[in-house]
Amino acid sequence: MTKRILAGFLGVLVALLVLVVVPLGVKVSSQQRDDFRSNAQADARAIAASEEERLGDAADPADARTAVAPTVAAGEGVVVLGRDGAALLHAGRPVPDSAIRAARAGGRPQVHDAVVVTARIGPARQPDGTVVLIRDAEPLDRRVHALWLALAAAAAVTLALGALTAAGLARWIARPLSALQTATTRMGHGDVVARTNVDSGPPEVRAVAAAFNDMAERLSALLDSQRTMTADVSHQLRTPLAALQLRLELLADESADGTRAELAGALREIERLNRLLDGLLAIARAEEVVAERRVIDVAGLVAERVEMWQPVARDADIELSSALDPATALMTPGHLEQVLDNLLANSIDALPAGGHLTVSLRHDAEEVVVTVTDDGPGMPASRRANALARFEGDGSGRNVGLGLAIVARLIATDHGSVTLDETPGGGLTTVVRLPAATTSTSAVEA
Amino acid sequence: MSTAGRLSVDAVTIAAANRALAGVRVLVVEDDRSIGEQLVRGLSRAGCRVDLVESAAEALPHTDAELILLDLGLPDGDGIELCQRLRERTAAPILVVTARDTERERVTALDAGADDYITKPFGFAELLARMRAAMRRVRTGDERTRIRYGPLTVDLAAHRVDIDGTEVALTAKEFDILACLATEPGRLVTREEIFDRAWDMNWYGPTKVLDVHIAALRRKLGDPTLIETVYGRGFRLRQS
Repeated sequence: MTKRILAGFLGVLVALLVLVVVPLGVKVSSQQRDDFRSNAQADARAIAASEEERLGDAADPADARTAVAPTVAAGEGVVVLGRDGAALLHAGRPVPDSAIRAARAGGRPQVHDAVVVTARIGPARQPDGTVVLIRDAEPLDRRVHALWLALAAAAAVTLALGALTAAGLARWIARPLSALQTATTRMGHGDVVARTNVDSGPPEVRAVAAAFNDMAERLSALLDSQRTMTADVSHQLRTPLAALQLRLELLADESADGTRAELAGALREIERLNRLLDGLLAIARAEEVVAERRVIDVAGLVAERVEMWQPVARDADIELSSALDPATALMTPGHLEQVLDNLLANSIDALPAGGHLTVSLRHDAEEVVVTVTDDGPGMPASRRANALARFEGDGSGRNVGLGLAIVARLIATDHGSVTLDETPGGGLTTVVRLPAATTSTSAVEA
Repeated sequence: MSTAGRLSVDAVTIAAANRALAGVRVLVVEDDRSIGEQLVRGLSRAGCRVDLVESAAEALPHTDAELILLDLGLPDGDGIELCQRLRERTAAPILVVTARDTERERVTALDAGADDYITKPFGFAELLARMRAAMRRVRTGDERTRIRYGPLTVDLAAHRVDIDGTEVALTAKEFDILACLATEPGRLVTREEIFDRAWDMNWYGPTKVLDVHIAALRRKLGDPTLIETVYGRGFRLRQS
């Protein structure tokens, strides 16, 4: 946008300058040329007048001796032609023959780098001769040149001032807009505390910024109340759950074996409910706690996690390997561990004996990509689409399945993203993208 | 994880397993009547003499209790404050009942004079085990910061573990898990119980992560059989 405003403004300015300055220059320089010529003409006439006196006295107007050489300035030349057109006299700079011929013919002589003017001597009807004056055009050229230079300088200064004004204007408009855009993007990534500055820019942009902040405020208040609600509900449910558990245990304590087994089943359900509450609370907390992000050594952490899971993978006869590039990301401490634990445990759960599980890490200037690939049964596309957002049980009753939802929330609060793909040849590939720890990301944070 | 909840089959009945608690005068401070009633029933069956009160104001005069079970979420005031005031009046062990909340809350409760804590929801097996442990500490006058069990010594205060006199370097998580198992050696400790105690509520993940830490712990302790897996339910220290 800055570029557009700048280009538009400068375009108009250039057009204006071309339309005004060029005709002005042309006009003024032609005036200068006319002035120069009429000066020369006046001088020529003066010479003609003085020649007339002398030639008029002479018996033979062709007598060259009566002609008196006029004084000539540097770069000037004068030729006096008699009545018959013969050159009576010559002084100063030579006059080219072509110019003399043109003067004899009564035309207007043209010479490349000089101005040539003629003046008749004596009465117009029957002139006694002609004065041809040639004057070096260099001073004129210099003056015209200076004129154009001055005009060009004025145009350049105008353009520069215009560019500065345009850039200032563009920044004035664009900066609050780009701040607004950054805030919008951050909010889109789940950073509900993102706000924009309402103190700069044109009033319209300020109004938009204020409206955005207002909206963000309401949205975060809504989310807050939803979160508090979730946390409260989870919290409040624990007390009746505890009561229920105690009651069932007491009942089991008094019961015969068959009933006890039934009650043990009921207690397992309580356990599941409890896990679910833990998950809900964890989600609520993940979004609520705005912890400070730090530069995290992703490669080191992944290596440590893979190392830790190695014995469990071995027990399940699963080959767990990793391919790691050194990389660092900007993250909330503790998040990546939790994410990796969830992903590795999910894969190990899903993989049959002999399965392969690989964690790889690559990065560019912008992002760090952690990929967890397994060759297990995978997930149908329909489930993949929902697994990150919803409560997905795996049907066995063992997992309440908030794991992936938690992973997605944790990564989202760190401005990253998670996608689930199919491994070529079958299996699940989870791709976690994290913002790389670069100076630009920390600038955005600041 | 398919666990059998906290219904302990090991403890044949509540009454049989808790001779240690017989006759102990227990004060239950619990505002939720439903839980309170169940606790009175269960603890009575374990042989305790139980007084149930529902508010801080009623709790303070009961200085004759030998053990206090205190729910932190009381209607008439701060449970932490009540804990402090009870501690000023009695030396009886105070067991705090909390929702599985942040580590900070537990630390605050322990600093306020609580001897131990238990998280909601909980089962009788864990509750009685914690009560037994608390009473044992009172009776032996043992501060129980050091637990000796076979070749294993766990120093709870110093966060130090020795095997045959040689210190073993454990991570904080590994130590918490081991401390959980060592509080009452030989008792089955369920996965949930370990999670409640060793993990902050902000953490949510697969319980399989526990196997990861147990594997590391076994490796570091040098004797893989010291920690026994009770399949699908939990872990315990090998009975000697």
